[in-house]
Amino acid sequence: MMSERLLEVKDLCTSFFTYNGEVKAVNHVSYYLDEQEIIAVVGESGCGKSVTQMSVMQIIQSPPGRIIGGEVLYKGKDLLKLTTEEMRSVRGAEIAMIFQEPMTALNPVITVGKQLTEVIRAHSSMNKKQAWAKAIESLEAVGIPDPEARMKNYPFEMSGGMRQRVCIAIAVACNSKIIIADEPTTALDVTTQAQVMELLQDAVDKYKKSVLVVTHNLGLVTRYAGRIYVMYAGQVVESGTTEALMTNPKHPYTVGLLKSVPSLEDERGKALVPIDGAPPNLAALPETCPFLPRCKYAAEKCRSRKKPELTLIDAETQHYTACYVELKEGLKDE
Amino acid sequence: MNKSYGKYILKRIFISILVIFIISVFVFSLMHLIPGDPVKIMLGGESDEAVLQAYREKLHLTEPLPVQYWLWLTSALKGDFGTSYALNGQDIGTLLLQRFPVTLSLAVPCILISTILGVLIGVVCAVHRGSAADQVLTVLLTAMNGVPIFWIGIVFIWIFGLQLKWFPVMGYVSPSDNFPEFLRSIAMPVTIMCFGPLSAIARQTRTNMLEVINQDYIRTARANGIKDSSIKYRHALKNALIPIATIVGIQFRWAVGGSLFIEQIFAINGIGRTVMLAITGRDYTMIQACTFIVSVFVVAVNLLLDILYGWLDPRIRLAGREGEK
Repeated sequence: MMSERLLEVKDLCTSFFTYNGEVKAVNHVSYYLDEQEIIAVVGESGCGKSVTQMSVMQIIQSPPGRIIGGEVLYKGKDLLKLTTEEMRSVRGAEIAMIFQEPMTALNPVITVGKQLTEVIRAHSSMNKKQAWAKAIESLEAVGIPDPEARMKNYPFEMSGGMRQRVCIAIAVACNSKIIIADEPTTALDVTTQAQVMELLQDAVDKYKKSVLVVTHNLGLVTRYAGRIYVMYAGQVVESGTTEALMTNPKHPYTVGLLKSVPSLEDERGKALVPIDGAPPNLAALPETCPFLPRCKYAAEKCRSRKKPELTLIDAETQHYTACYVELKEGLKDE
Repeated sequence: MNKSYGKYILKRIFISILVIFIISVFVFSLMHLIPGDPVKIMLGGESDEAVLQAYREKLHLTEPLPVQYWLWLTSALKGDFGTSYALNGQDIGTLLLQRFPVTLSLAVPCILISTILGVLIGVVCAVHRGSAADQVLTVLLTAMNGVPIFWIGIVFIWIFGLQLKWFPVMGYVSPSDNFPEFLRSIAMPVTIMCFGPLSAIARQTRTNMLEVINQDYIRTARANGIKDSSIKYRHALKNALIPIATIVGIQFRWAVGGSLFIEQIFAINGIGRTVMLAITGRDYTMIQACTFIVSVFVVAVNLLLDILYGWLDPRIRLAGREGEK
């Protein structure tokens, strides 16, 4: 084991305090990110994968949201203990975040150039001219043609893919170590999706960054991510190398996710298998395994015991799973 | 200024002219839609029929309607609205030239103060949402909006005019005659006029700011480590101000229309009081002239607003600019 991770999240808990009680959106989530790797956090809508990342960045709407426990260690120091001003200088400069909706993620009434230079100047001592030049340079780096002219454009004058590139350019411009990409490809068409993923891969290769991709698109992310964390109902239910999770999924939810993704190797006409039911109400989580009501493999011991802890099942692939049922290899082809 | 913004402004000007034309038709029809013979009212019901007929001819009332309209419009555009019979045959054009600026000297300061204070209060309330200051201000603003002008006017006159003797209870001093006295004479009317607009602008700003603060681009700005002050006053306010422009426009028009009450309470001879006199005296030519002038003013304010929108919102200004879509 390495002594110090680039980013290590330990036991993170974030809750939203609403009229219906405490909604445990992030429930003891732990993960880590090393230098120059891409990891993915996967799960369906409302599983807490985005809230986890927003908690790391400390940009949760508060109230009603509040980080109630855990540690976010960046280069060994706990970001949750920083002052507001210290945290502000981490955002963008050390850890950058890009979002799902490139259409709305940029300010509609400020030019792209001004938005870029503002972020650059917020994290450096550059003057306007230097920042402007740096901004053009980073637009070029993310493959935006004619960057000088583009600087004077407003976001609405660009396509979705272009805007997402601008968002990545902001992350590149500030030399941040980590890019957290919250569903960066969801709102884009398929060809653009691949381009954006390639850009993120570039950021790792050329600029020595680490990337965390939050997504529900398993198919896209498995090509790039080295490790995957599967989240369900605010918890990590399975994690490990991409290889291990793809070939040997141990948690019934991961199995379900894999079955519901179309693959080119599938026979024509073969129906996709959806996961029946809906995720549990996070304001009233049961004592038992949260996936139990939807689980096809549920056994008697699942109903009588408290929810399973994440346990290591294979050290070599760092394969962890939170399930009592021992799923056999090759189960997904059943 | 780029080409598409110029085109946008030209289009707005064209529409404004069209609207003024339509208004002129309505205003002209006023005389013919309202029951009763204007000449009879003018001269009294018992007048000799020959005299009435002579007057009708003098006022071109015997001509066909389109001819009458044309005569009215061409002279109106020259500033000639005829003479008033409620105000002893004074020339209406000259009269309006004296009185409209009086109303504007109340309405313009009112809107300036309301906008500046309103936006400030709205931003403070939004930024400190739920705080004691926010709650007190919100209640106060709602009360200000609900209180009737004629009542608060009397209360003000009693407190600040009669008891404290800070300001004159009525009357108007022209700024060119005596500027400090002018300020004293408009202090109370303008303050009271501000109640409605200030309240509306402040509450709208508060709502817009709260809405904008939840937008994705604000989250992006925060995630990028932009300073809090820049997020609030640059990123959020710039977006929140776009709908405020509408409210300011509406309030400006309201301030001119509402001058009717305030001028009556403080005995100020502005356009509002003139309209009041014209209506009670059935002075049709005067009503026509006032309606027309106020309408043209409203259209002009709208035009300015449209231009302002474009300036505030590049999506309007640059719509259709060459670029990748």
